Amino acid sequence: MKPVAEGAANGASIAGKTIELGLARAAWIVYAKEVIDAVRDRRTLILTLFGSVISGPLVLLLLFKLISSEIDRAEAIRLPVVGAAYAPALIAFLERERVRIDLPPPDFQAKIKTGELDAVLEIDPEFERDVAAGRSGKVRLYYDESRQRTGTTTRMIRGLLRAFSGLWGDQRLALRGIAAEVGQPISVEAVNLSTPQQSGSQTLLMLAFYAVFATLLGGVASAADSTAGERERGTLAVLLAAPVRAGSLILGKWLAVATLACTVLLLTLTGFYLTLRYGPTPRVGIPFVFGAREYGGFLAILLPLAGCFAAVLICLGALGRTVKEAQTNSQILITVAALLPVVQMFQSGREPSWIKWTPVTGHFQLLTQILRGDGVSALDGLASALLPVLITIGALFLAARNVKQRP
Amino acid sequence: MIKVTGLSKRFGSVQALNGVTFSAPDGLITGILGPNGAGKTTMMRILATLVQPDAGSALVDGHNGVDDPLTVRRRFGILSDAKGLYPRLTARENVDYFGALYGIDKLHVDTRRNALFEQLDMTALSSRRTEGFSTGEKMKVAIARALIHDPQNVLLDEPTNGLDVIATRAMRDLVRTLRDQGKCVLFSSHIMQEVSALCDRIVVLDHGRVVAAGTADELLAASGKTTLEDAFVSLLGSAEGLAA
Repeated sequence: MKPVAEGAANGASIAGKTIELGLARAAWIVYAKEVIDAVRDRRTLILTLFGSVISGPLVLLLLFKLISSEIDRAEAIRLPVVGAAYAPALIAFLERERVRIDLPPPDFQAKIKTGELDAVLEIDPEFERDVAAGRSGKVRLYYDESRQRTGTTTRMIRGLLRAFSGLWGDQRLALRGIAAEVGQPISVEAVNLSTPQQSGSQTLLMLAFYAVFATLLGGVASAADSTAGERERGTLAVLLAAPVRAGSLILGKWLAVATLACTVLLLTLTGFYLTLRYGPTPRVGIPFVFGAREYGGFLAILLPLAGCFAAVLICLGALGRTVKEAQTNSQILITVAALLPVVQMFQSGREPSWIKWTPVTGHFQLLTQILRGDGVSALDGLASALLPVLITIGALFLAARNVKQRP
Repeated sequence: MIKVTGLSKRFGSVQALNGVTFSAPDGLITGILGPNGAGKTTMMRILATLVQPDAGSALVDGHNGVDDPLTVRRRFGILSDAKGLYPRLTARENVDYFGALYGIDKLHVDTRRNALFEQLDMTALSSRRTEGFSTGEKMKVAIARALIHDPQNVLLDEPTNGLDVIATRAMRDLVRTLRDQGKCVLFSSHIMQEVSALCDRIVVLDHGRVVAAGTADELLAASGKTTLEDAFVSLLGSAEGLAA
């Protein structure tokens, strides 16, 4: 420090140059600082981006890969058969249906348990004789139900065995001069009323999960840092001693957190859009639609929720004395937001009509509607925004009061 | 000019301040001396309009912090022992942020900040982020931040806490300069040597009350002692909490 006595009276004097800032101007100054501060927190930024922006499309791609491999698996079933020689007609039928018949290894049961084999068919030595005598021929299908990945193969084989059994039964009846319909008193004709997009939307439900989470996770770190972090660093008291109202401070901080949350949401949705437009989608004959219409719909529905989450995070952060405390408080919101859609999925029966008014569950319902291509009415959209807007105002008011009372 | 009259504040069962009355005129350094828990920080917080008093008034240049907090805040520069800075902002950004919040236009903020940094020998560090700054460097940024709006009244709450000898001397020089400019400087400390070496007037606080006030000579006369240390111990009834 230079000898201050020689200094120019502590710098150029600007006495009288200070002016009282309006609410919006002060909030804007706080907003600009908070955004710079948050963007420079690279580690948190990278973690947030990975947490929602990258992991969402990544999980979607993995899901598509799983569906594709299931299709491949269904197209090329390998079935080791014990005693194939006892049922040549059945083996011929299976081979016609493009099932590759192998000889099983001697320890096939152990191999099924370890997942090396999906299933093994054992044919009873008396199979042909039983069938010829009009009795049921016995076959035994070995598989491990606890292994989810073998489910497709097992289902396919059981289906083929049922089909062969039905075919043979029809022939037996025909030989006795009885129409096949006698053995089938009910004929079921399934009429699927869902559109192709609606069928695909079931797979895309995870987009709604990720989108809701992006609106939340995008703001967690910056909300804690800009509230409890200020208190922990000792800057909050200095800030409150400046001629700025607590309301302006909270408003600026909220806008910054909401901006970050919306940016993460935009990036997440863009990731989904690009993945579905240019990424490899499985050949299942149904479209996986997430185009500009769905993108816009998601954004319109989730923006009020992003603002609401940001406000609640700011409020929870303001209650904490340290960033750690604020993050623990934020966990409450994260848990509730994570749990609500899961509870909703396990709900049986039709959802009550009031659900569209509730945050998270109502939003999840509307996002599902958008994915199905059903469209969302402006009234439903407004209904989903009403409560988040009220919560936002309440949370910001509480946060400002808390900050003012506990500098 | 600060005028405190009958200031009282209670937190739950603790009476932090109990009818504190004193004044701190312009052009003088007024020291608030008291052991830990005497009520120094509570009083500073009331003056800074961060806490509202239960009774009494604190006038800053004639403005009451309860009725007109924003005007009072504009007339204060505050430096506390926390010296909290934004670690991801540069030294310049830390100061400019507060300049903007005080409603000063960018041109004047630039001029004022450059002059302060020049004087504080911080120009070379001005574009560096403050994370990793030494305690002394952080203190200089906090000083520039507290003085960016050229306040008439300066509150220094235990400002030398954690500073080394060089930085402490520099801080004392700065406080004297502010006094020479005609500012009203309120300096709170629990270190009796610091207060006696620096302050023109001393207000001794204990258990939320003013137990003595005046110049060093007046305090010696009032206590009937020959050294200030003995005078403080006599006034407080004990040396507990007063660092040597």
